[in-house]
Amino acid sequence: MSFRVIRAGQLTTVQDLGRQGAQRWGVSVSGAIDPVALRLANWLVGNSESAAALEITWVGPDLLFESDALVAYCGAECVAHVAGQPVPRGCPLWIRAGERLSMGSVHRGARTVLAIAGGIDVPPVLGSRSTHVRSRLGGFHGRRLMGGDHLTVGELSEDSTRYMTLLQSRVGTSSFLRANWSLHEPEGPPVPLRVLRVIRGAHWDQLSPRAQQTFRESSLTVSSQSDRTGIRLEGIKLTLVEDSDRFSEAVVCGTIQLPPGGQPILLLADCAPTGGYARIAHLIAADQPLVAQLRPGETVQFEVVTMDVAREQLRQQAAELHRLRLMIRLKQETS
Amino acid sequence: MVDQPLPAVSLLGEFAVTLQIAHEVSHEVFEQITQWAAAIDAAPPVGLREIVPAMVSLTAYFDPEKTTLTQIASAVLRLLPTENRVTATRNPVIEIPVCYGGTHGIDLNDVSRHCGLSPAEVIHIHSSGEYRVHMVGFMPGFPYLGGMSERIATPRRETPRTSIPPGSVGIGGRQTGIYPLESPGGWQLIGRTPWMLFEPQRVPPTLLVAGDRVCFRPIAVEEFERLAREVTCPSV
Repeated sequence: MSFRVIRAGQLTTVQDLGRQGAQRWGVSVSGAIDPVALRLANWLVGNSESAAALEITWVGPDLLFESDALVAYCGAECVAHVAGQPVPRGCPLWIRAGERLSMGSVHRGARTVLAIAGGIDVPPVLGSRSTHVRSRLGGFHGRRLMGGDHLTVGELSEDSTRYMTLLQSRVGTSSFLRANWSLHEPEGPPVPLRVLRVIRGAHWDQLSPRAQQTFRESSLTVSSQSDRTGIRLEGIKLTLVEDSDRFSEAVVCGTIQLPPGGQPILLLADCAPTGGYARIAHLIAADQPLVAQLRPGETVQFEVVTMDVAREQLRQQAAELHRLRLMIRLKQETS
Repeated sequence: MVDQPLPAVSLLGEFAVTLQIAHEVSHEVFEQITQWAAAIDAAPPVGLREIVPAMVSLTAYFDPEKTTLTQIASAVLRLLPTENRVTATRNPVIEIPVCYGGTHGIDLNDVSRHCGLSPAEVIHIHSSGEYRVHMVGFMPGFPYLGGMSERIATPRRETPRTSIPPGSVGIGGRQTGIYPLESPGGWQLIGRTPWMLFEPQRVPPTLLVAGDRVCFRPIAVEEFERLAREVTCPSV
């Protein structure tokens, strides 16, 4: 099972749920910036939730399948076509060998995850297939995909095989078949301003009460200098009461750092495991999918919540994901 | 830093906790953290995912389905060695070959000018010290080395370089370090080692880990080239 990259798109990389256990050696966690989209896309094609998939940013790739394939994409909306026909988000697609899947521009968000039944088969490095481009680690030769690349997919799970066989029995002579159902993903709020919930960080108390108020009440703009390492936020300048020398310490995806310039940086999955700036807050894990879809120029506002709220939100998200997973199973078996 | 009783416990998001045991770096603090990490590795508490030892703190990452923040913090703190139990480790010193100056150390002259020393004196001072790996971070395998002589301390470059070759040995303020991979960076480059500091296939994947003792051996360009041919090169 294999496919060829005809056109790579803007930034297409192999990602799974990330690389745990190697941060003490300076190795970043990486992984899909939108882990919910990765899980859903994987389930839609019968993969385990941690299988490696393609993360697409801004503009997607054109892929030529050299064998029959079962694919699905989740996350941001994307203009996608097979054989000239539009194909929807959150819907399993059976694609005949020799056909081309064109993932066009991403809209209503920034990142789309494309899963392929069997998962992208690249060698695991330190326990993960995720690409960390900066250190040329993992993924497809440690880099973003390029036109001409030839990738293979892994062995199909029983679920994938069964569902592919079912779809294949209905496809007739068509070049592809979309399932007669699709997933309604939980949508972000349709307002231009996104509220991101955070818990206080180790250095929150080093912000003056006034700076804390500014942090809570201001609208911040997503800078164009944002990538998988972090999102730079513009529009406020925060100063610490006492900005003494700080020693490098651990940081995580979701940490909001305050460099001396006073403009916060929200770290994402490709961030280094350690950093020396003040850690004023941390995004709650349940809001990670919202952040993955931020585009430069969009505005956000922070709401400081308690750890209990963070836990409750995560519990609700896990329950919703569990419900979606059961629904996907049921559809794959009965429709 | 705000005065607070130590160790100070702070949340690092929802799944990690940072335990800070000192305000300042010292030899004792460093030994304590190194042995603490070893004790945790030897008997990891239930639900612990990984640890990141740093200069004055240690961060524990945990699985919220198997433990709680309070449980993991207390389990990890219980393994903290008391200061009087701390004795110096006896790992052999790792001698790293470095080709100083020339094209491999393009900032050596700037460093020597800043410090009012001859380039040969800078090389002599840098290569006669013994260093400790305080932590590994910033990028895969990057060692923060403590123990450099103040006489060769030099501020970082005003404008960071966009690309530094792997193996470059640099001075950044009072610290010295080695860039394991090609990357941007602002340290003053005084030399380069042909050794690979990071190879993901290796266990552990880094040549140096926190706690290691390190010294530098000056080599000539010819030896650099010979050693560089002997080590495996990353596929591009």
